[in-house]
Amino acid sequence: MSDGLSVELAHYLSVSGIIFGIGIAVALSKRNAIAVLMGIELMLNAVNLAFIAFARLGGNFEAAGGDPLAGHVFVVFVLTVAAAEAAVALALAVLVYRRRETVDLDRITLMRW
Amino acid sequence: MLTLFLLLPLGGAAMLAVTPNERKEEARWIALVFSSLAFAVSAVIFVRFMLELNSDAGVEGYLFIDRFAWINARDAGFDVQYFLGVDGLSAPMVLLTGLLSLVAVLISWRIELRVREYFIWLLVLETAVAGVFMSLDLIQFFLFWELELLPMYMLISIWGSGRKEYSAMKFLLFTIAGSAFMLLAFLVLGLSADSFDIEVLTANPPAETIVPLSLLFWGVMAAFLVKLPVFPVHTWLPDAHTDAPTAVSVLLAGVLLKMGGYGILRIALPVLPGEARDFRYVLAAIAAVSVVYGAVLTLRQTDLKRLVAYSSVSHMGYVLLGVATMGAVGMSGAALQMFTHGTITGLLFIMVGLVYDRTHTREIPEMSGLMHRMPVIGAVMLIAGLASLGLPALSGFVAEVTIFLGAIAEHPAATIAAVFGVVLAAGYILWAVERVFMGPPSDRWAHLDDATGWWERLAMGGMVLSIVAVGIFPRILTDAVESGIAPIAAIVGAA
Amino acid sequence: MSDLNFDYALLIPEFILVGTAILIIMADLFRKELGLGRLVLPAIAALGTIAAGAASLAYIDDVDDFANVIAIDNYTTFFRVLFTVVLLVVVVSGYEYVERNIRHTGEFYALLLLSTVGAIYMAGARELLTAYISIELLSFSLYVAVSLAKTNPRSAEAGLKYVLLGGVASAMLLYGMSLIYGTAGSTQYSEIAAAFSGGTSEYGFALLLGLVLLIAGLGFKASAVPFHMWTPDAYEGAPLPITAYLSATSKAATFALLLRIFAGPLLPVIDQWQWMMATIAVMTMVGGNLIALQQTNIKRLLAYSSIGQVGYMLMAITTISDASASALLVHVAGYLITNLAVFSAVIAFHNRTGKEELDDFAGLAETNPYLAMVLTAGMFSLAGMPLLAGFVTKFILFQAAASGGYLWLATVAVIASTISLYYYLQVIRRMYLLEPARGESGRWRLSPAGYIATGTLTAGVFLVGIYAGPLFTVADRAARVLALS
Repeated sequence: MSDGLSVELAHYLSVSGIIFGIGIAVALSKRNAIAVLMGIELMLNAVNLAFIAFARLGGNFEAAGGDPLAGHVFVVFVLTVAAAEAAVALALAVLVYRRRETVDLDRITLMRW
Repeated sequence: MLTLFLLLPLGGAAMLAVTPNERKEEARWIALVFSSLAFAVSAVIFVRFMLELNSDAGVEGYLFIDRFAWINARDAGFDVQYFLGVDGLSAPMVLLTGLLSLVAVLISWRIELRVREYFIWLLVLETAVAGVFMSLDLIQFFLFWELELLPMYMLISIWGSGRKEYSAMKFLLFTIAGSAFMLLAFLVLGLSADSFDIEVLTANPPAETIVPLSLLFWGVMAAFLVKLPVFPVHTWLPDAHTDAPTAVSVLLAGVLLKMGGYGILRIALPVLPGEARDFRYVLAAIAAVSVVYGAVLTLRQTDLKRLVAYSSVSHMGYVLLGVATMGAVGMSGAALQMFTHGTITGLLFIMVGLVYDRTHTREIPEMSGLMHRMPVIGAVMLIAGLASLGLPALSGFVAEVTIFLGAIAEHPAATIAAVFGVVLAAGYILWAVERVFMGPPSDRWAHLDDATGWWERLAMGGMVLSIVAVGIFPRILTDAVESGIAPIAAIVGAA
Repeated sequence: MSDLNFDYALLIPEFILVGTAILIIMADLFRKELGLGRLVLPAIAALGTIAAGAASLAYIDDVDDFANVIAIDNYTTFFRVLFTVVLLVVVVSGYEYVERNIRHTGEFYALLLLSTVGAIYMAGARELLTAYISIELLSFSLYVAVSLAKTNPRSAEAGLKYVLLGGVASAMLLYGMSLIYGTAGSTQYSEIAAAFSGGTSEYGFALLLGLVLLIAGLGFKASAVPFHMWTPDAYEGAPLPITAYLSATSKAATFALLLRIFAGPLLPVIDQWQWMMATIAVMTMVGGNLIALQQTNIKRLLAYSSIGQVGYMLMAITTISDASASALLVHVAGYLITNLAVFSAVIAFHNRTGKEELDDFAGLAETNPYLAMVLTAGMFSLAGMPLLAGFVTKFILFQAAASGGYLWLATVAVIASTISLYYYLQVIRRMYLLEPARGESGRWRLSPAGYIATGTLTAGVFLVGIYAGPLFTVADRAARVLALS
């Protein structure tokens, strides 16, 4: 990365990357639906961090005729969508739980993969 | 006019599709009417072609062309035409298709199971085969080539006997594996020449493509050799033949196998002449092995239908041998052999079917002295058998002699092997006829009738007529075939 | 940025769709009070869809955009019409099924309408945020719709699995978008393209990671191998009309988006993603078709078959060019018609028998020859047999790949396509060769709607197969918007 991206940006991105990594590890390894959902939330927050960091500190934006504001707007939308996602996923989890008394994805096996 | 020939059977199929299921008799008549009309059209095509040929102007290129842009997307580099035409090579094939389809309908008269569907598939099959013989655009050719699979699969697997599903699937898999390679080769050819037009490709064979030309050649040949079929990709044929209903066997032997030979002469040779020449010894070797191997296996068969099926492998080997000469005489012989084998083996299958209808067995050892009970069937069978082994004055002789004349200089060893095949053919044919029809009449077969149905007699009569006529007046065919082969031979000779 | 075009008239078709959705929910709420019959909701949905589709025709040859975020051009119009047609088919052929098997019919239709809006904007988006929101609008509607079946215990589970895996995929997609935003400095497609065409060496790893994540996320939505795991489950668990919709609109919309992104902003960095796309295309073609061989449930079979089809479409993205873009559009349209024909037939079959295992199709040629014919035509079209839509569209696709210098990819595709014929034949074999199960040998008829849906679609399959010229012209005009060389 040339001087376009400052050291500070790299820091933010590292944190964001680490959170994303934790999130994806959780989402893919946990077998409890709620835990998977938490992993997804972590991933989304990592995304938000990255967007904000780029929007605030991405130095090459002006030069490229870019739009720092888009990053902020993106974050607002991601937050909203994440909330909606949680609502849908939890509702479905409740639906499954009522029927099967479990939200363990390994035990929800009416269908073979 | 060619379009008419193409659409008539399809029209019949459409009409059958809306016929109520219970009206079996009507379904038969609809099929008969449409296939007769199609045969009439094919006869008109052939006669008009001969008239043109014998007129002062002669024939240059293709006749009766029907052509329009089918999928026109020049910008995207994709341009498919609807392009039908016949020349001396395809005109006899068109006639053969019309004739055998009519015969197939006739000898299916007694089918009782799902009559309507049966004739629908039969007529669709006719359209597909006719399309292959008349298409002059690679994509259109491929389209009809593939179209023939579905009716064949259905016909064998529903109306067949024995291990019918296995045989139908085997047929399908062999064919489709071959045509996958063909499609890829066509794609490359079309891209290199910027056209799928066979006429254009023939006039300017692509000199260089993104893959080696020899690979292309074998890609195209893969489909044709499977269809022909030759050793070692022939194994689907005996199974398909044995388990198919009689009419389908007739069409399979009569016209479907010819699609392979026709494809080689129409596409593989003129479009890739250099490669064809380079590989002519390989082709001749394959041909010789097919002839002898097929004949030897034929000797060992005890199932009458399987016997005829294996003899087809042997006989189609002659076609490939004729092609492998890369000369006008040999190739003419090959084209003749395609026609004559179509009628002769078609007739043999009809006879086997008629015998089976009566005896309900195809095991040769179980039969004996049938001639006493059914003299007509026996006599016709004898004629077909004699024609098959190449007796002079019958059509098989003309074709085989022409092939050998053409081949002896180019491939002496293969020709000698093939002539040996004729000797074997005499053996298996005469032996089979002797065991089935001669000998003491057995009580078991005392109740059998001869061929009595008008449809049976009509079918047999037509076939015998064509065999004898071509045998005595070979010029009916040879002129046409030679005019069709000449330009191809010129292209291959120049390469 | 100040002179944005806020011409709301450009969005009329979607206003109609959303308005219809709201109307349906209201009507559903007051159903008892108003004394509405059971046909009212689907009728409203169908009428709204027709209106939206008709309204989209007004934008032919427009070159416009709404506030720089949604392009209104031939490409969008193409998909607007396509998606409204799909919606109409699903509503018409599915209403009987919906009546019997769906918990909340009002929500069902409303969700379908809304998801179609999402699908249309996926095709129309010319900016990453809009694209993302559209994807989520489509996905969320489908997450819920998948779990709406009341009789099938698998439905809710399928929904749960779908939403969780979909969430992971969305997050990956988003991270990819953020990296692309970070490297290019903008979310506008045109500006991203401008930024990348100036050279990308300085972005290095960030761009590569962004592309990987973007492809993974979109690959999930398109159910490309190895991101396909959700597909068979969601297909099997979902109510049949939703399965049809998943296999049609959801796929097509993803490809509409993929094509716009990879032919536009990401074209300058083609060297960095082409190999990924080729790998995924091969895995998808081969994997989808091979796994399909061992399926015993018609929905799962069709799920894997549609995965195979996705592979062919990914091939067109890999070999991106003017020819392959329009070939892709042709193929998508042909695939939608064919697949819907098959699904309409399967729905009609399920309405009658309530079954969906392959073995249940035994003897269908005897009990309902018409339906057997429709299924045969549809399946052979999917396998790419001639005179049917699948042959022409696949052929054009393969041809485009070969002419783009990807002969090996076309070879794989041809082989995969050959394999696919085998499992389609397994269905056809059962229908034609086996006897119907005992006690079920009587003839039966479809509902009028069933006849209309299957008949029209089958006619379409044959029409495209025999005379594809007009479709090709239309697709060509739509693809030209992308301005590929």
